[in-house]
Amino acid sequence: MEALKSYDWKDKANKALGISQEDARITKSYLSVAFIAILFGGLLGLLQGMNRAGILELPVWANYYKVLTAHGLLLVVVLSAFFTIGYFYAGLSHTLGGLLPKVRKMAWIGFWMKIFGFVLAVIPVLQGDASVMYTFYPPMAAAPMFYIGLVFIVLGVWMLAFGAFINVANWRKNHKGQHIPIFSFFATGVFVLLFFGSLPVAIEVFYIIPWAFGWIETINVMVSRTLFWAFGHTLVNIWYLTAISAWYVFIPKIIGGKRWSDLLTRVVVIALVIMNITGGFHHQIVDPGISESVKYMHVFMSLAIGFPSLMTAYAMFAVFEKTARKKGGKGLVGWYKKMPWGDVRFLAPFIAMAAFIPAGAGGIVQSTNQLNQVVHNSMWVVGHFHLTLGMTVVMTFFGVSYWLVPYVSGRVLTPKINKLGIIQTIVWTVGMVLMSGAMHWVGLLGSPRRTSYSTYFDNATALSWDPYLFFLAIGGTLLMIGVLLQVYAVFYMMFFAPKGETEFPMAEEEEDATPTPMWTERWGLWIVLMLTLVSMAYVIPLVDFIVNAPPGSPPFKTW
Amino acid sequence: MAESNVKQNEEVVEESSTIKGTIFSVAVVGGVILVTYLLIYGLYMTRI
Ligand code: HEM
Ligand SMILES: [Cu+2]
Repeated sequence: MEALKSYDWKDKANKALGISQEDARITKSYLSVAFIAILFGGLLGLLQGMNRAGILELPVWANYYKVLTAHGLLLVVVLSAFFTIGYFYAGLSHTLGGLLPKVRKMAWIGFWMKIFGFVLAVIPVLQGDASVMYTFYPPMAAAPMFYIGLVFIVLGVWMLAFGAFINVANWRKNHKGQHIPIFSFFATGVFVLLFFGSLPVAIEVFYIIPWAFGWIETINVMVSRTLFWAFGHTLVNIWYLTAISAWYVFIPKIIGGKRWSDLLTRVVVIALVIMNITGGFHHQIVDPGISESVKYMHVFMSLAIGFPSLMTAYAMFAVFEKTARKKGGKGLVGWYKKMPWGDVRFLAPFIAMAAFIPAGAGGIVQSTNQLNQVVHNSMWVVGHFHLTLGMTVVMTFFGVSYWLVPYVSGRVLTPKINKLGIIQTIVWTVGMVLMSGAMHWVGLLGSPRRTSYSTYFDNATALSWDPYLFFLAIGGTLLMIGVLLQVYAVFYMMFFAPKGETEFPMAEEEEDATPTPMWTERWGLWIVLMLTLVSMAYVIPLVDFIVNAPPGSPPFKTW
Repeated sequence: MAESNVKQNEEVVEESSTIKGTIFSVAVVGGVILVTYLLIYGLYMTRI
C-alpha cells in the first residue's frame, strides 16, 4: 500500500513536469528518422508498384531489385526499429521517472551507430553492389561494406537494449516488491527479444563477412538462412508486440475506459517473449534439408503464437464493449457507435486491429505446410505483410504519433491535424486494401514476388494478372498520398503546432482489479524458458545442417 | 411505479455487464480464420 502511494506520487509528479527536454530530444530524433524513412521507402514502393503494373519501366540506375532492396531496408530496418526505440524510450522515461544520464548517453551512441551502419549499408546498395534485398540470402553476395554496415546496426540495437535493461534494473532496485509499470514491462519484453533475436543474425553476418571478402571460399546456405529467420521472424513479432503495447496501454485511455486484466496482459507479453524466436522455421517451410519431424514440430511452434494473439483480440473487444456500454451503448453490435470514431488516436489503431483479422488468418494458413505451397513466394506473401506490417503495425504507429509527437515536443494536437489524420487514415486504409487485396489475388493466380514486370513472352497466365496489378498501382498511389499527409502531420506537430501540454495517455486498471501476482516479474526465468525452447527448436536442425552439410557455395552476383 | 423501477434496473445491469458483443466479435475473428483456411485448402486440393 505504502509502495503504491509512492508510485502514485511519482506518477503525478511526472505528469506535472512532463518529459525532460533531454529525453524528449532522443525520442524526437528517433521518430524523425522513422518518418523520413517512410517518406523515401514509400516513394520507392510506388515505383515498384508502377513497375509491377506494367506502367513504368525503371531506368538501369534504379533497377527493380536495387529499389526493392532499399524499400525493404528503409521500412523494415529503419522505420520500424527507429519508431520502436523512440516510442519505448519515451515510455521508459515517463514511467520510470526519467532516463538515467548513462542510459541517455547510450541512446545517443546507439543512434549514431545505427545511422552510421545504415549509411555504410546503403552506399553499396546505391552503387548497385548489394541488390540482395533485405534478407541478403547467401549465396547471393553483396559488397562486404553492406554487411559491415549491418554489424553496426546490430551493435546499435544492443546498445539500446542494454540501456533499457539498465534503466529498468535501476528502477527495480529502488522499487523492491513492485511491478514494473505495464508500459515498461512491454518495453522490457521488446528489448529482450531485440537482443536475443539479433544474436543469430549477428552470427550469420560474422560468418558472411569473410566469405564476402573472399577469405573463405564457400558458405553453408542452409545455416545462413536459418540464422536469418531466427532473427527475421523475431523482428516481425517485435513490431507486433510494440503495436499491441499501444493497444493494451493507451487505447483504453483514449476511448475513456480502463485497462484489461493486468495479469493477463503480462501473460501475453511473457508468452510472446518465450515462444517467439522458434517461429522462424515457418519461413523455411519449403526449404530442403529439414527433416519432416522438425517441420512438423515447427507448425506447432508457429501456431502457438496464435494464442496470445487471440487473447489480444478478446481483450480489445472486451475493453471496447465495456467502455461503450458505460457510455450507453446498446445491442449486439450497436455499441460500436459509441466509439470515438472522430479521434484519429483511436481510428487509426482500430483499423490497424481490424486489419490484423485477415492478416492473422493469412498467417495461420501460411504456416500450414501444404497450404504454404499454394502461396509460397507468390505476391500473396507480399500482400500478407503489407497487411500485417503496412497496416496493423504502421497504422498503430501513425495513431500513436498523434499524441507522442506533441507530447515530446511540448505541443498539442490541433483539431485540424486530427481531421487531417482522419483523412490520412482513410486514404491509407483504402490504399492498402486495394494494394494488398490485389497482391493476395494475383499471388493466388501465380504471380511471383520479388520479380519485376514481365509478360513471360505473352504467356496467358501472366497476362491474366494485369487487370489486378492495375489496382496495385492505384493502391500504391493512394498510399503515397497517405505517406505525404502523415509525414506532414508529424513534422507539423513536432515543430509548428501550438505550444501546450499533451498527456501521455496511459490507462489505469479497473478499481476492483485483483492484484497481479509477483511471479510475472521473474524475467530471469522467462529468458531461461525462452532459451530452452530455442535450443529445442534449433539445436537438432542446425547440427544436422552442419554435420551433413552439402558442398558450400561460393558467392554469386545474380544481378 | 415499483414495477417500472425494477425493470429499469434490470436493463441497466444487463446492458453494462454483458459480453455478448465481445463474444460475437471474437466469433467473427474465428469465422474469418476458418473461411480463409478453407478457401486456401480448397485451392490446394484442386491444384494437387
Ligand atoms: C507507399 C506505400 C507502399 C507501396 C506502394 C509498397 C509497394 C511494395 C511493392 C510493390 C513491393 C514489391 C513486391 C515484390 O516484387 O515482391 C513491396 C515490397 C515490400 N514492402 Fe512495400 N509498399 C509500401 C509500403 C510499405 C510499408 C509501409 C512497409 C513496411 C513497414 C513495406 C514493406 C515491404 C517489404 C518488407 C517488402 C518486401 C521486400 C522484399 O521482398 O525484399 N512496404 N512493397
Ligand atoms: Cu514469421
